[in-house]
Amino acid sequence: MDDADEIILLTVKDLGCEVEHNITIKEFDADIFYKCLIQYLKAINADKVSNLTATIPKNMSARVNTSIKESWMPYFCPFTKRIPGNYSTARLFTTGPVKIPARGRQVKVTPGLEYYYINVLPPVTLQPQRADDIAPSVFEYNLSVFADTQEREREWSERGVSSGLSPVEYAKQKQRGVSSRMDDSIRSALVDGGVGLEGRRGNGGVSAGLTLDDIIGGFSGRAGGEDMNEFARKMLFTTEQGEQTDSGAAVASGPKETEEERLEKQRQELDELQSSLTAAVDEIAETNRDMEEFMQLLRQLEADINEEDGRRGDLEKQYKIKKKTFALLDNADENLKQLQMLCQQSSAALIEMAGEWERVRRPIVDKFRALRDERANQNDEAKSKLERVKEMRALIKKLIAEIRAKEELFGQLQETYKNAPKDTNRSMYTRRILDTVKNIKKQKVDIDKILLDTKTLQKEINTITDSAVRAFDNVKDILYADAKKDETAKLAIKSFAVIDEKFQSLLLAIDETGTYQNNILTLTSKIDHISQKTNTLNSDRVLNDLKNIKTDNQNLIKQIKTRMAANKSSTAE
Amino acid sequence: MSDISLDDSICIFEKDTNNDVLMTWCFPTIEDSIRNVVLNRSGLKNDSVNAQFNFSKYKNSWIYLYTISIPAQKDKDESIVIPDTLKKVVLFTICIIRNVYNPEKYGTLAQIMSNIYLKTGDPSKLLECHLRAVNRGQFDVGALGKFVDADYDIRRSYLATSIKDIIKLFDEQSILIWNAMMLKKRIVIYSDKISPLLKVIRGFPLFVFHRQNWSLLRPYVTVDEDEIKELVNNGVYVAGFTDPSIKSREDLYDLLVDLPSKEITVASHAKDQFLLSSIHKDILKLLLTSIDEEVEEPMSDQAVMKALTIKVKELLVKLESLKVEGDDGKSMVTLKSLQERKLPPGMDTFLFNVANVEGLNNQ
Repeated sequence: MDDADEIILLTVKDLGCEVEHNITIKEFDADIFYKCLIQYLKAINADKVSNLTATIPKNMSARVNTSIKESWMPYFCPFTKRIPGNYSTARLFTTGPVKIPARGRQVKVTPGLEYYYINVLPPVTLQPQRADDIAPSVFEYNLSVFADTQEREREWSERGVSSGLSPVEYAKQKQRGVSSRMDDSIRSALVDGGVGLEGRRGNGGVSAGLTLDDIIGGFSGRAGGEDMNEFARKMLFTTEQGEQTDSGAAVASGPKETEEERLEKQRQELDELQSSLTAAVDEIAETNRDMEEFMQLLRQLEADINEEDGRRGDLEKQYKIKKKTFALLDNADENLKQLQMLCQQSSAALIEMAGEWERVRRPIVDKFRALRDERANQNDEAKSKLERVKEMRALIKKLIAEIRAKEELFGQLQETYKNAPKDTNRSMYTRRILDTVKNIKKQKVDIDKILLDTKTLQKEINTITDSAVRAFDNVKDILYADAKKDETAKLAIKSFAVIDEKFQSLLLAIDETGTYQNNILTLTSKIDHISQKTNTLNSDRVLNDLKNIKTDNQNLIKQIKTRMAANKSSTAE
Repeated sequence: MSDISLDDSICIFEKDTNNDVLMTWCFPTIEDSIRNVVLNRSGLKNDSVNAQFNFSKYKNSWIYLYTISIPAQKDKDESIVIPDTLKKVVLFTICIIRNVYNPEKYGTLAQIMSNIYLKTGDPSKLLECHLRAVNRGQFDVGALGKFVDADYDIRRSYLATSIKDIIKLFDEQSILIWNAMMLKKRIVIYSDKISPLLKVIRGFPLFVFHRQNWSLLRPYVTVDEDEIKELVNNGVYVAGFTDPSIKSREDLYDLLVDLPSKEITVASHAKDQFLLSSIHKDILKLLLTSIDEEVEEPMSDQAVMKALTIKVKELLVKLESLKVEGDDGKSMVTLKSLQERKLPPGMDTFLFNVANVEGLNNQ
């Protein structure tokens, strides 16, 4: 420990600061330092620091912290090194985090506070005295907050948006409106309350001098539809009580007095009080009247003063004019001419200037209007955009509903997918499908080929039949031509006709055989099909089984018969 | 011309298609406070232009407003050509501010000026007219109008409304008006329309014609806060309103005249001041005979006022005789001395108040 340190510690202790015995300057933390500081300040001027406490408010300590976080480079440092980002140098001059003694809720900083909040402090539900009311009150509170925001939002979207103001401006405007309306109603209530009050007092002597109680009383009196207001009732109640206790005391103290005497005394007292009251009321009324009269007088005097002021101004002006006129009177004609000239000149100048001003003014006004037009257009645009935003919002809501529905559907499908058998091999199916597709393609090609073949065949058939017909016709012609000269030709024609006939029937037969052939083919294929089916049933085995069963059955029948016979014989015995 | 003042100004207020109200031109200047008042009273701001011409007073300035609606003019005359500068203008108001009361003169001037402005759209033409009217007292712009300053005598403006019409309107209640005017009370006149309001209100000072005081009129006031403040600062006034909420402001008046219902109400705090005495009876008799149609020779307005003035003069002479030596050696009328004379009830305070307002105690 340095000597200097010791001196400092000694002075600190002298000042009355509680410092631990073996502490060194190096071990000083912000807490102790602050305490010492306050002690010092007290030593310098106790009055000024009398209201300083051992801790400083939270926000203040935060501010100190942020300001000492900045590096405090000495002024002789080159500027380039003073840039906060230049850590190498700057860090040397930056204080480490300092704990400033602060008060306020510092859960993390104050040791044990967090523990207290978490473990010791009863939860909010246990704090109030009546636990039954918690749920309703919390619900009610939340509901009111919710309703409030809802209402505000609704109003904003209905009226606020279209007003073209910003939310803050709109709120301000609304506040102004509300407060002015409140002012109006209070003022009118004041006037009405004054009238009502007078009516109540009956003598009409008192008009001014309304108190707040009167006003409030006026409100409640009207609201209740009764002549007496709540305040008055309360007052009455307390005085009644007072009287009762008074009378009780009186009875207790003076049991000798008779009831009548007491009543008489009371009546007298009441009369006295009543008369003094009326006197006071009269006095007040008188004063009020006087006041009113003075007010009237004051107002009249004010009016007079105003009037005189105006007159004075006029007179001053007149005086000035007349003074000037007198000064010019010596040379009246000339001066008049000069004045007229001056007048005309300034008039001309004024008109000229007005024309010039007009040239400046008009573009400004035009520009202003153009700008306003633009703004109005922009406003309109904004409005239409807002409309669109509203539409879009509706759309969004719709879409959200749709999405929800689809999500639901998706969930359902997912469920069914989960429940579906897992072992179906997808790749196998696809391969099979691909195979079939391939086959179909192949078959298609085959079909196309066959179709082509049939077409060529058809063509050939056609040409052949054509040539046949032509040959037939030729032969016919030749034969007929020869028949006129030759007898054998006639015979040839006859036989030709027969041949033709025969051929026709042959063709028919061929056709028929073709169809039969087809039928046979289909039938054989059917037979094949069926025989395959029957093969699978193994009819042979079935037949064998049948045979076996039959033999078994016969054996069994035989057995039964012998048994029955045996039975019969036994019964007979 | 003796009534030229530096406060005199002409302004043009325009309301354009964007609903903006602008003071587009002004000569030479206008105070901001008056400008706001003019804006309020022109009704341009809230689409309630309920009269083409109206006049009102703020502080010491008389405000004459002449408003023209351009679409309405077009409806009337389709051939009318609107100058380019007024293409975007819907309504415009020519405002003339003077420190003199003369609605006829300045109404005509404002009308001619609006004609010129509607035709040319050029404010410098208005300046020309203004300067000519100031310099030569007259100008002529052909078909648009002709203005001769000398044609408008202030006395004709004073007498523009017949006192008999007002007496007819309120019958026996007229005596309340006379009393209020005589004792310099605060009067508020309410009417839903502005033109009857202006017509009636300017006749009120006729009841005390011997004072020839029109400056206490506030023919048209809106319930704007500044205007009310200015009104209260005046002390005593006769103010016209078109806003029905004024009826509930009993703190602002001693006597409320409701034109639509022809009702006159005395404010509750001023009831003591309106106790009628034999003098009132006398005056009322005079007022009622003036409108009595069965009399062979009906009285003219002038005769009514003359009779009233004579009555007041008699009263003042009588009051002069009632003066006593005051504490400070001045001879004056005191309430105490009047009360000692055992006058009929109400008479003493009335006489005392009259002595006060007529300045008998200040000499």
